[in-house]
Amino acid sequence: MVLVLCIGDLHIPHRAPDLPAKFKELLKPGKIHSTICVGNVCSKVFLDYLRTISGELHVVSGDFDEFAAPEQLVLDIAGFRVGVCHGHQIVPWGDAEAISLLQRQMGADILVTGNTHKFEARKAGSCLALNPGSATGAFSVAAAGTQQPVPTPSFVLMDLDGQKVTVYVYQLVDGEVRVEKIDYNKAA
Amino acid sequence: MEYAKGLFSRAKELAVQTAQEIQARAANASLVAAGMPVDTPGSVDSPSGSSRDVSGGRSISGAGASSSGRLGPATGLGGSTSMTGGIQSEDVRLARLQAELRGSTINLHALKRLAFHGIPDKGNLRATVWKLLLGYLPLAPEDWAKHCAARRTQYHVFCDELIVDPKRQPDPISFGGLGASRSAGGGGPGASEAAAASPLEASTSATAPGPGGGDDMGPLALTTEGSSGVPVDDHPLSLAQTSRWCTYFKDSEVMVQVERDVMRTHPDMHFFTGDSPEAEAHREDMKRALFMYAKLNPGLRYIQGMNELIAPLYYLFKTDTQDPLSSQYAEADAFWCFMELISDFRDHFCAQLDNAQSGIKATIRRLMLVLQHYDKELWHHIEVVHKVDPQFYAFRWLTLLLSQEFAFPDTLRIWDTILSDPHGRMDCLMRICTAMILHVRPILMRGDFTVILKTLQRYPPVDVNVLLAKAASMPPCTAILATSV
Repeated sequence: MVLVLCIGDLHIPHRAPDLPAKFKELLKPGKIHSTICVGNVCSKVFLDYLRTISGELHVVSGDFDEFAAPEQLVLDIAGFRVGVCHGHQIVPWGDAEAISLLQRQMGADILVTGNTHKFEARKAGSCLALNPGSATGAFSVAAAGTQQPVPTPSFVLMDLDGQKVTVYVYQLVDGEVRVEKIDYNKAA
Repeated sequence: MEYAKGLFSRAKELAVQTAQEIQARAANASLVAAGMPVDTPGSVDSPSGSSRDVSGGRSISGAGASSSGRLGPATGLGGSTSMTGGIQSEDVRLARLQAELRGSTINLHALKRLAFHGIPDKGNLRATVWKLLLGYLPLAPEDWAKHCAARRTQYHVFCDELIVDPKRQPDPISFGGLGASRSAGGGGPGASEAAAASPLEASTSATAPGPGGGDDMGPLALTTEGSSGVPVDDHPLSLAQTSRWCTYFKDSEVMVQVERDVMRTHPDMHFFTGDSPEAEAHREDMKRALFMYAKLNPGLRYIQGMNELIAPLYYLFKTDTQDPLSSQYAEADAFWCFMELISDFRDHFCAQLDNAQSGIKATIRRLMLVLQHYDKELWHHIEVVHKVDPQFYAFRWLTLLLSQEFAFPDTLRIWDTILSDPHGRMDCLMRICTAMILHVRPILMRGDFTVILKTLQRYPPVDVNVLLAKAASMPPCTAILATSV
């Protein structure tokens, strides 16, 4: 039972000052096994804070990041191949087909991308495509002009257990944390 | 007919006893010739004779009393004088223990007297006798199977309820979702297992129950159109008190502590250490039992050292060949016996009670008072002249019941006496500790701080029977403390 935090698109300090207080309260060290950051943290200082949440931090480079990081990562966590990429490289942004292409390229069971600042969890064939959204609800060019111009702050916690992935989505709605759970079976 | 059968079996028992008396008497006679103190067998058997549950009534017990009267002065019950000496051959003691355990009701008092001088290793009786002494087994052997089964089941029910698996769905009865189809009387284990199986089935069918809201019975499968999550109240990062995840993480902390200690238990014994699957299983069992104790006693939780108290119990029960079930259910039996054992010494483990009257510091002070009573010069030499704080050595002796000071077989022998002392376990322990200090008097008197500390912390090898004989010859500590205060 491995708990993996997926978080990204924070844009600190440019577009947001800090994580919402309610999120910070939840992210106490000791429970989470590893963290995956999809990029656009921006501030290097905040990257250090992310390192304190769990034992391991895996980060990829976003288009606004101020530190060096790889463009893509493929990780082996608890028997799952997890691919990580920021998403600004995938054109068109947020396109399902393009994301599947990347998934096939990486050979990943779970692909975590960001950039759209919108939470998504989609099953494409036997793979899972996850987007943790923006943890600070930062402004996004992609979102502007759509139905929901101000993104909801959100992040994702994955529970990897054998063949089963349980995805817990934490969203800040009207100042309160709302948690939803989605189950996904690898073999199915 | 039953009456006659009862009389006949009673007569047979008496015959066996009489034969043993004669044998013991012969042994004693030789001991008297050698000038050593003897045990008086008559006093041991007369109480057992009168308490046997037979339909013979007074005439039989009368015969029993008279037979003991013939053999020797029947000294009264109680009194520590009959406990002194008792150096009989191991076979004799074994035979008497076996006879005692064969009766239809066991006389606890008599059993204690027999166990006080050590339970022979040969007959593999120790496990059973300890269970009786710790009150785990009832005194009528025919009730043993039923009683043990009840306690073992109770332990496993506790395990199921208290070991929180955050993934397993909580009891459906409380949620009302699937409760209708399950029997309302289903206990924790049965219903929750059924509930755990159901979400996996429900995930594919459209009959996933729940009108939404807080009902997270059936997690829906991922649909291709997008995120359709089920709102949940309990999640891994939850800080709520009622959260199963929160409890799970708190329990993990206790488990880590327990595991650390269990890994270090008796590193020299293959039973406990090593990579073999048996050793692993033993460690898992002990961990679970200690964890259960921590959960059931949230005030005390787990304290370092409890593993040393449960280790001999678990070892004994696991290696018991008398009763096949005993080995299988060693964990449950060890748990209950450990509960009983630690109840006497609980306060030693509680840090907040350190300065209280029942705490460890007070006990150490009492030990020093007793030592003063016996050997003021030695006490003065240790505590005043060389300022050796008794906490340096007595703490471990008292909290771990001397399990770390001697080799494992010797510890078992010492615990035989501690568990069966008529004046109580704490009293016996204090007397043995005093005897230990007095025994090394020559070394201590000649030594300085370093020597004293080294001797008492790493106690030199000694025949424990000598120490136990000395302890047995002392009057109970309560008497001494009453006079000295």
